[in-house]
Amino acid sequence: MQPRRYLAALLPVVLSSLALIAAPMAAAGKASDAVHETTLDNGLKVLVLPDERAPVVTHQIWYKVGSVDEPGGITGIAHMFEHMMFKGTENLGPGEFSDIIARLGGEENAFTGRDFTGYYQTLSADELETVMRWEADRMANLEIDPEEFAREKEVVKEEWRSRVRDNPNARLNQLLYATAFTSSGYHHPVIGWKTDIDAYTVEDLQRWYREHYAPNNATLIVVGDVEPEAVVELAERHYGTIERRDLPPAKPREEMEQHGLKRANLSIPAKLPHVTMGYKVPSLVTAEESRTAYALAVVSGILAGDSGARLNNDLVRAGKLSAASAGYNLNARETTLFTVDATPRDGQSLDEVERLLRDQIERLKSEPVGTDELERIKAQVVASDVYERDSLFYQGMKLGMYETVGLDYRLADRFVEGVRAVTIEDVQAVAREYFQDDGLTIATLQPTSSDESTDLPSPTGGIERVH
Amino acid sequence: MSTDPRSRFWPAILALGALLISATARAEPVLPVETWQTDNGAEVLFYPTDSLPMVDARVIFDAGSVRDPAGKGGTASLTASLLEEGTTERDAKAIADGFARVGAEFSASANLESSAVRLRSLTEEDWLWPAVELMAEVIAKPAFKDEDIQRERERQLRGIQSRQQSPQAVASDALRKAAFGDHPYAHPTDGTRESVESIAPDDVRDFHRQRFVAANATVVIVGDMEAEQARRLADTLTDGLPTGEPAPPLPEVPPLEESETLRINFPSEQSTVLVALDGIPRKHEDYLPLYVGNHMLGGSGFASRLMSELREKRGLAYSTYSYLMPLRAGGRLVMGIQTRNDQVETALSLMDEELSRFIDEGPSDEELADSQANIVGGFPMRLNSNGKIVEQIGALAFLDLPLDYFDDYTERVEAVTAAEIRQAFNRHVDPQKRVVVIVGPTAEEADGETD
Repeated sequence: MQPRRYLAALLPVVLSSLALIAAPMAAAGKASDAVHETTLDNGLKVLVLPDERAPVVTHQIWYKVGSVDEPGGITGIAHMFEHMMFKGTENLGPGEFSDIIARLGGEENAFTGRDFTGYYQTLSADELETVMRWEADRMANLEIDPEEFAREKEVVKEEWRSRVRDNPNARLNQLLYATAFTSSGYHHPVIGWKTDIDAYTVEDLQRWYREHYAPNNATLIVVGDVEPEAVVELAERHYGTIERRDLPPAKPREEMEQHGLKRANLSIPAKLPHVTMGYKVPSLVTAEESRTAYALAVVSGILAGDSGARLNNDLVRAGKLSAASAGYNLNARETTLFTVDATPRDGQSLDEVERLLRDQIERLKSEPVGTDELERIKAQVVASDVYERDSLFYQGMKLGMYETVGLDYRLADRFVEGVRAVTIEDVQAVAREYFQDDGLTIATLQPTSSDESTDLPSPTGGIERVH
Repeated sequence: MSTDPRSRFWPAILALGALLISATARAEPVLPVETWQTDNGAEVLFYPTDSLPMVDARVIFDAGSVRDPAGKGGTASLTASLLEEGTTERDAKAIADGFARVGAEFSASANLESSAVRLRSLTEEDWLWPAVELMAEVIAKPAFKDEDIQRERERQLRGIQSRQQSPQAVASDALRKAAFGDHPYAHPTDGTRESVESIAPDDVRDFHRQRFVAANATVVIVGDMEAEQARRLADTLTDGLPTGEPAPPLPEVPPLEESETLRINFPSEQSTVLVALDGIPRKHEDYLPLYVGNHMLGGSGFASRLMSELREKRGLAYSTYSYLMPLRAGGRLVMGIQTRNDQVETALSLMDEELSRFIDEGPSDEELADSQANIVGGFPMRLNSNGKIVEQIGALAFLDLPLDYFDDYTERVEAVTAAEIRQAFNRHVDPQKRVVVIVGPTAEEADGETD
């Protein structure tokens, strides 16, 4: 996901929730009992979760649209559009909503992912109505000023430069997805291809707004020191007046079947080589049985759930690799990737890295995992279920991530249960079914410059001083 | 939203809601912390909150990279990462299993000023105490085997290489070096290739023996337990530590002597520009005016002048900011931006202009009022989770600030005047004396795009 602004405090929360799937996806045990659910007449679903620990509230609106919905030629428009949501409406000037929030001491931001676009404010519970009024305003009354747009496009290009162009691992990750996915909207990156960013027009943005920003395509989530009934009343007052609209149905864009291993290589100036492997797997949305998705989540925990998990313990700690990790997004809307990636030790070949990672995959298929390995993951999931209630934002985010991809928010609660029901046999079965070359893509980063090259300076070398 | 009496929420409010009360009646301190010393001399701070059945325990040592032995930058970081690699009683796998089995989250790491060992656990007795005992063992009895040290050192070197492929990391390391000169704040927390290669196993063992001692430790406990349990927890965590000596006072950071500009060649499409100016240590009477002032200059995102002038009005950057580095022994004010290579000079002169204008004129009354409203209104969000509370208490204790620091915080912020801000900036920040670091293709190689 691409948060709009540089906000150090937010990033760890957001990123870890995607990266560390096994633990943080755990649900708050009794949370969904406490969630108050309503759907307004215009189709806006409202979820309210009271949390009275402090006189604070987080107000989040999640639109069921992300980069996955973008057709070719305007990739990244979901993200560009998200930036424009801060640039004024018929009633407020550019940046004015942000100024209002700032004067109230609120925090705000927005985020765009493959499957969703979200906006949020966290502030004193007394001021919920203020942010609701203006959030509803930009759902219905956004104005896209050509000059503001031209400037903001430059901002997004700068964002692309710092997140992608000048970040070798991000480029490798883009290559992995672009190679693995052919017909699916996961082919292109969330921030879009640079040539598409260059070519957006005001009309592209207006169409995006018209086709996706409607109350019946959104979920409102409020977590904090609030009374659910009062929140619903406010939602009726501010969002309830916006009319439901018929939106063009999403094209299926199902990923076509892969027949055989795909490989891609990236040769750019960088310091560290890297190998990343992705197997096509179902998510909780696309799996025929939810058990499959829970078992895959457990597999990611077995490989990389903590420092004692297999990749770190058996490969890194054993001195065979420099770093290694695995990831799986249970909440993807479409067929997704189960990834395994690693950094070689100094001088080690990428072939050897691949062999070591593949040995781990084979091991999952050929030997049953230990009871202790399974038990420790279950304990971690149970505990995370409590820990994550410490964050107001995360509690809301979890509800949003489930609802937005079409899963009932109550499923968030079943995560713990689902993981606890996973057996040794389930783990072996999903490994055998999905970890096959037919669905595998391997992308490698081969730096064009060696360590000693002058292309990349050591902290003391290559410096020109001007006094 | 909170006009109803809410009587049914009082038990929950009491946990964290001292905030709510202090705003009106000041009946309770904002952070009702109990403090004591363990028998061997560690300082303990305990904040009870029954809002969730969990506890955060943290042991902070005055053992940051600023304490690295001379020429061996990265020792603190290496020592911290080795803690969970084995104790005299069990190996790394057994340690990881011990925490995982009870769902505990454990980590240890060093930063510039300190090293911290952290635990988050459920309060269920069977889950809590095994984790606490294991944490105590990890802190006091690391094995520091030669082969583990060798391997972790190699990984740290790979980490340094990884930083070198990030222009922002390269810029930040170069800025620290240039801004702090000979002071031990100058080197990167993970060290440099040369300094890490020179760390011998005994350097790690000596560092641990000297710094991981009770007299150099602060224990912070936040969670759902009684004081008696917290005492047992603190005693268990520090039991294996000798009393030892607190780390000596740090040398003062000298003011910047002369201006310089460093250009570091890097094959990027965007340049990272960082500017360091003089600043103040955290414990300084002018801290609050400088903090509020910086908030307006570049510390508050879209509400700040840098963001408004460089991003919103000109589209020069995605990210631009300023921040204070208020360390214990001195400080710096830093401004930064990442921008397309051909815009570096424009961005730099605009940043300079904004800074000079701010120093000369100070903030307008309206801008100041908005900023104060932002800081005061946002105050409850600085303490609205156990995670944030443990962080804030740890910082107060480590910096030796009073625990009632937050009791009249909002009033003190509101009392800061525009004149005080201008005077404080004039006293401490000289725009003519600055260190500039620019990381990007140097002029002759910049063929960058010009769209």
